[in-house]
Amino acid sequence: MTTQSEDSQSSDEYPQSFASLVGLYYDKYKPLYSRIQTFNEMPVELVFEVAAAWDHLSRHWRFNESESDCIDKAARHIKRAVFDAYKLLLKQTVDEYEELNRINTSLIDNGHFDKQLRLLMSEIRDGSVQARTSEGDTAGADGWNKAFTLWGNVYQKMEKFHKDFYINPNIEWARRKTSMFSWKLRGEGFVIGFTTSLLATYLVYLCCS
Amino acid sequence: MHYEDDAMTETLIDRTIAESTGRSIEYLKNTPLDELRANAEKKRGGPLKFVSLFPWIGRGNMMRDHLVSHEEAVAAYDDAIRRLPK
Repeated sequence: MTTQSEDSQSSDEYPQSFASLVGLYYDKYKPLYSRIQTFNEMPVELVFEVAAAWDHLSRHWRFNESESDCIDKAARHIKRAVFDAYKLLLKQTVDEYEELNRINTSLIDNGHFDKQLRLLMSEIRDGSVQARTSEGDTAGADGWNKAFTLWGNVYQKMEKFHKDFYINPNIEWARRKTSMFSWKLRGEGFVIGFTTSLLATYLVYLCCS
Repeated sequence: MHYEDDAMTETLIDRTIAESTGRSIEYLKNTPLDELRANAEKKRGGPLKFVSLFPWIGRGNMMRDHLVSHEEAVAAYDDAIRRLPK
């Protein structure tokens, strides 16, 4: 196996040595893993991928399997783990977006907030679909990097959504307004219903008497 | 134990991760996993939980009582994506 000093391959290229595989782990996987770790809920699927990668690597020493084959298989698992991490962040974004949908955000900034929100979510949707369909492409350096780049772009937008929209200070104000509006509507409904039934009772009484 | 990495360069994604976690990218890369876990547990006030988020992520042949096809996993993912505006 080559060591880091023998191999200057960047983590943007398809790993062909142990050192560049470690580069992939440290540069692409571990930062995202750290982000997922902040949820304090670790999906087992993410852990399985790295365990599977380690198992492939160990087979080079244990069973004398080809180094390049073991690195190739391990790299595919690490790559899958990176994409899984992006999908977890996408899931969080979808959940947060659905939470925002229960609030009347059209009240914020004369509807500009809503317009910008929908535009951003539309970009996230299109970007994630494009990134997911590129995941299987490993042909050449461009193919290897394509899905990483596309998911990276989507990730920037997901964090923008979280920062600028989900934890926007105006959301709490809109939430209170939505709640007040909802109670007002219920109150109005109750008054209208009560008055109508009173009138109907009175009319029935008039007709019968 | 921390590892040295002279070739470490910060990308835009790294900066975004650093901003969202409140830690420098060097710290996140160099800190052992058990220490990252201890930090998260301290911040969240409870032990780390392990969850399964299949079919969002993962493969159907792990810890399942039946195989879930690739098509079924893709369909579940597409269903979630459809909830986002066009």
